[in-house]
Amino acid sequence: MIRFSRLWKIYLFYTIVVVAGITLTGFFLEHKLRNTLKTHVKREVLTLAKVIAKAVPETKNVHALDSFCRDYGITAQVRVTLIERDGKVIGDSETESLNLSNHLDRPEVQAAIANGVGDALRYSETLQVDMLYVALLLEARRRVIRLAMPMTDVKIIENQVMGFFAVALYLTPLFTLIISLMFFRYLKSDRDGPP
Amino acid sequence: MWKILSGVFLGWSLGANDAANAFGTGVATGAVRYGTAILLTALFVLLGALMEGPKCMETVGELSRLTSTEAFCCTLAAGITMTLLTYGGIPASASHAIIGSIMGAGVLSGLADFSKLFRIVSCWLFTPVSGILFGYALHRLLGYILDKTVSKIRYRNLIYSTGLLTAGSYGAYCLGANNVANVTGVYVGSGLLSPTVASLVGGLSIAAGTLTYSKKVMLTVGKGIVPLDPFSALVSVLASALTLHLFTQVGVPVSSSQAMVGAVLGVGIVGDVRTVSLKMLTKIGAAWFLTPISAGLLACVFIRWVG
Repeated sequence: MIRFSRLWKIYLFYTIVVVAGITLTGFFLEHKLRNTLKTHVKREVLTLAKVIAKAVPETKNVHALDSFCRDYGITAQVRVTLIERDGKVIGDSETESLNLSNHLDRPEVQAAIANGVGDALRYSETLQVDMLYVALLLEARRRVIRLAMPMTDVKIIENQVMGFFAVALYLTPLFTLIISLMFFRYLKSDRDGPP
Repeated sequence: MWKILSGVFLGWSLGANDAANAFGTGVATGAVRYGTAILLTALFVLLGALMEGPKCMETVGELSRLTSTEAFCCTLAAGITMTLLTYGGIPASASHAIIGSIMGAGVLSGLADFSKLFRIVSCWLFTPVSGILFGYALHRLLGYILDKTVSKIRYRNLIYSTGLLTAGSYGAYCLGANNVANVTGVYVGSGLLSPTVASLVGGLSIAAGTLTYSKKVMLTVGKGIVPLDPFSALVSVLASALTLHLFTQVGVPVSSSQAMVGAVLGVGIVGDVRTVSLKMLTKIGAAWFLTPISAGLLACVFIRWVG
C-alpha cells in the first residue's frame, strides 16, 4: 500500500469533507437564492403591472398609448408593452409599437391570455442580462399589459454570494492544510506527553 | 482575425506540455515509440476537439461577455503565464490560466459570472479526486481480470503495449475534447469564431505543439515523476482519460495534469509503489494558487494597456 503519512491522511480527509460540504451547500444555495429572488421580483413587477393597468387610457390611438407606456416606463424603470388579445402591439415604451411584430407567440402573453397572468425569463442580447417578463390580462379591455424588468439586481446579489463561495472553495486546500498541520501537531504533542 | 494568434500560441504551449499526459508513461516504459506517440496524439487531439470540443466552449464563453480584443488579451495572458510558470518548473494548467484571465477581465468590466466560476472551481477540485477513484477502481478491476485470464508474461506484455497505445489515443482524444475550449472558447463567447471553426483552430494548434515541442516534457513526465510499471502506467492513462471525458460531459475544462496526478495516486494506493513525491505535490499546490491569479492580473494589465 502507498505509505501516506498521518499528516497526509488528515489533510486528505479534511479536504474532501470540506470541499464536498461547500460544493453541496453552494449548489443548493444558488438554486434557492435564484428562485427566491425571482419570486420576489415577479411579485413586485406584478404589483406594478396592476397599478399601471388602472391608468391605461381607453383610447386605441397607438401614438397616445406609446407615449403613455414611455412615461410609465421611465418612472417605474421597466419596459411597458400593451398588446391586443390577437397579439398586435398597440403601445410600447422603448420602440414605436407600429414597428413591432405580433407578440402572440410570446410564452408570457399566451399564459396571460389563458390564465390571467403569465411570466417568462429570457436572455436579452441587447442588455446582456436575463429579463423577467410579466404579463397581465385586462379582461374588461381585452388587452394584455406586459412589463419587462432586467434581472440586474438579482444577478448582482447572486454574484456576491457565489463569488464568496467560489473563493472559499478555491482556498479550501490551503485552509485545510493549515488546520491539518495544527491538528497533527496537537496529536503529536498529546502522544509525546509533557516534557 | 489576427486576434486568434494568441489563442494559437496558447494551444501550441498546451500541446507541448500536456501531450505528455497521454503517452508520457508509455514512452518512458518503452512500450510506445516517441514518433508514434506524437503522431497518434496529434491525430486524436484534433479528433476529440472536432467531435466534442464545443461542449466546454459554452462554459468558457459564458463566464464573462468579452469583446474580441479582451479575448485576445485573455489568451495572451494565459499563454504567457503558462510559459513563465512552466519555465520556472511549476506545472501550470491551461484551464486555470484561461479561467483566471477571463475572471480578471470580467471583474474589470463588471460582467463576470460567479455562479459559473463556482461550478468550474468545484470541478477543478473534484478532478484529482475522480482520478484517484478511477485509478483505484480500474487497477483493482483490470488487475483481477488479468490475473484470472492471462498467465503468460509474453501475452501480458502484448496486452500492456496494445493497451498503452489504445489508452494513450483515448487520452489524447479526451485532451482535445476537454482542453480545446481553453484555447479558443473565449473567441466563441466574443462572437469572433463559430464553435466548429474554434474547435478546428484549437485542435490544430494543440496538435502543432505536440508535433514540434513535446519531446522534452514527454520524457521528463514519463521518467522523472511517475516511475510506474507498464500495467500501472496503462491504468493511470485510462483513469485520467476517463476523468477528462467525465468533465467534458459536464462541460467544464479541467487540468489534464491534475487528473493524471490523481490517477497515479489512485494506482499507488493499490500497488506497493511510492508515486507522487512531496516536492511534486508542493509544486502542484503552488500552480493551483499562482496560475489563475497571475493570469487574471496579467489580463487586467493587458486590457488596461490596450484599452
